[in-house]
Amino acid sequence: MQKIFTILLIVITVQVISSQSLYTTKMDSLLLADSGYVPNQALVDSLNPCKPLWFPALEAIGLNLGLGAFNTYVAKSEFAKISFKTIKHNYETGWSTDADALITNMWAHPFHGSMYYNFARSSGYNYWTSLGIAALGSWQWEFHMENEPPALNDWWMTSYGGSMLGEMFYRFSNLILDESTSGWQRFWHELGAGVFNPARLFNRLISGQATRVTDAKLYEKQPLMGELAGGGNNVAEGVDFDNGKKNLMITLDITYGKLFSPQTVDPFDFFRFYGAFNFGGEGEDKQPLFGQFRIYNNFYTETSNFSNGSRFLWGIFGHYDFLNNNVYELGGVSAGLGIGYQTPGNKDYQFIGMLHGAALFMGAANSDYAPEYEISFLDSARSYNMGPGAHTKVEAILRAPFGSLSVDYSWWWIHTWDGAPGDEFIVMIAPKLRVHVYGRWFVGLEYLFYHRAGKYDLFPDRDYRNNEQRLFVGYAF
Amino acid sequence: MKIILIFTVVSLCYSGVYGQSIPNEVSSESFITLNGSAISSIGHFEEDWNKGGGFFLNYSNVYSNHWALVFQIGFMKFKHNAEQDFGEDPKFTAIPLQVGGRYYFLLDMFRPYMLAMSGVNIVSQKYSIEGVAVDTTSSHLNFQIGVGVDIMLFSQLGLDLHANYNSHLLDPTEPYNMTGLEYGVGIKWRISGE
Repeated sequence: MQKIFTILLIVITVQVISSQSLYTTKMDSLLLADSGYVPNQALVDSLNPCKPLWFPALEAIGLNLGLGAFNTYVAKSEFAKISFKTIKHNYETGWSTDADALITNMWAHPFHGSMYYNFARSSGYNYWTSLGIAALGSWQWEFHMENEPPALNDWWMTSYGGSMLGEMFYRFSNLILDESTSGWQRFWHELGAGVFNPARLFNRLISGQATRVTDAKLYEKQPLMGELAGGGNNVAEGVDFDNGKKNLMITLDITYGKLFSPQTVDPFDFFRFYGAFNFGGEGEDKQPLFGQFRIYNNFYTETSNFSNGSRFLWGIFGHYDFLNNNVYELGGVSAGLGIGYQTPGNKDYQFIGMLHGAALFMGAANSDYAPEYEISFLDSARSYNMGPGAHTKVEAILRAPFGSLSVDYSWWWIHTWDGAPGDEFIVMIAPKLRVHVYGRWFVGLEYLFYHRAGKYDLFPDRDYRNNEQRLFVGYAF
Repeated sequence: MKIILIFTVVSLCYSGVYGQSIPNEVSSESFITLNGSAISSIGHFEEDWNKGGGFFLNYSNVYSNHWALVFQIGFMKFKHNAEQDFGEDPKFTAIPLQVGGRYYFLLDMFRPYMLAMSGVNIVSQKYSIEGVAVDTTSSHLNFQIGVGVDIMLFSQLGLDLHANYNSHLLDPTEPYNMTGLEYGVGIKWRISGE
């Protein structure tokens, strides 16, 4: 590992010295030159008229009935054996919590919710109404389609988390759709958009939009830039580098929209997505496939321009976090205030900083003591504590001719609502260095430090630290 | 529960028949409403506190042809089940602070709607069980969905009839919650808009 670091340092030094002659892009900047496209609403209304609200509501309930039938008659799941008696029992019981695995509760449910959401979104409704349909669909599922008491954590993650994944997928599908094409080219456009957004594909098929050919530009498209990187990581205890568990890792970092633009005022006009996927490893060394799945987005922003070209913004932002490896499990959805500042983009060096403070609506973190709290009516327990709390995030990027240096700091506080009574405090700090080498290619190094302090009412406190080092080669698009 | 279902079906039919009369222009109206409600507890909560009542004051803003934003504060009091020995003069009260939305099927003289509200209940409990005194005040999340109809009897004055399902949290890990059906009537004053 030390040799690799030495080589990397030499590479960086050479790059810095000769940086002026190297290719530089604005890929490290949140300020993009390209402008987005927002269609004329009257044109959209004439060609894609908004469907009645009962339509997506019925689609959401229809999806539930179909999935319920699959669970009952194909999968023969115990929880799916429902009757009027179980529905009545659920209404009498009211909200509860469940004991599903972290990936089910904090990732699969939001993914399910993105389907409800996009039934409404692709029927012509905005973010907020579509969020309501996701909440309705989840409510109907929780109270009617399972014989277990309705789980409040599922409802939160399916509706709010679902809206976050759903709007991201909706925006991705907007970028792919092209109704001016026909034949096989059109087929691949529709299929590509449908992979991200199956609910929208369904609506486009039944409405005829999937086969309609028109030159009218009906879908909003904001600039998108991304980085796909692959490399190796080493996850080790404490702050040591030795005896770590090594894996292959692929990461995808996408920035959509222009954060510091005065036009960034509607939900998800700007968002960032970061995904990390693990491969390889054997036995205990094997890491989960989904290492990280993180989104943060604007709900509303106001930007001020200064005479020297720098910009300041404040806004309301949402956050979705799912982090999972052999050492820690963490998930949560939150929303709150954020402020940001960027120096002028026409200089060799540019600084961009963001500071967020948010209310954590539902969070989860692994705990040694959580399994001691068995959920009596389910006869099982979770590996993580769950509850509301708070979340802060600091993001700083220094863009330079040779590449960029960035730091991402995240802090979560989770007050245990279900699990071992107490509080979980989690810090994650991740400095990252990227150096352009050729064209759109770059190499980089990331260090990730994780610290969880568990303060418990009935058990001894716990303190965990671990760190992860990554070396990667990436391509910017 | 049957009453709520019948009410929903009637509201949907009514809105389906008269839906064509929805005006195209966007509405913007504000109301103050004073409601009184009777609460019928269900589930485990009914075994301890089987009846309740409350009054609520809300401000609502109808900001489009269908949607309204609602802020509400109130007071709820529950009566203990006579089969339970909770000592002398047991009390169970809650102050709900709620925010939510209504979807109006149409905005005419009759205005059927669905609602969803959430927020916080400040719950006070004072009773004794098997000689052990309980005297606590705590805050818990509240959740409510329902249906209703506003009847605008005069240009500035109307009635609000509603039936709601409550799933207010107390201890969801048990689960033991303030579940119940709430039936209410209120008077609403238009304070702005036409």
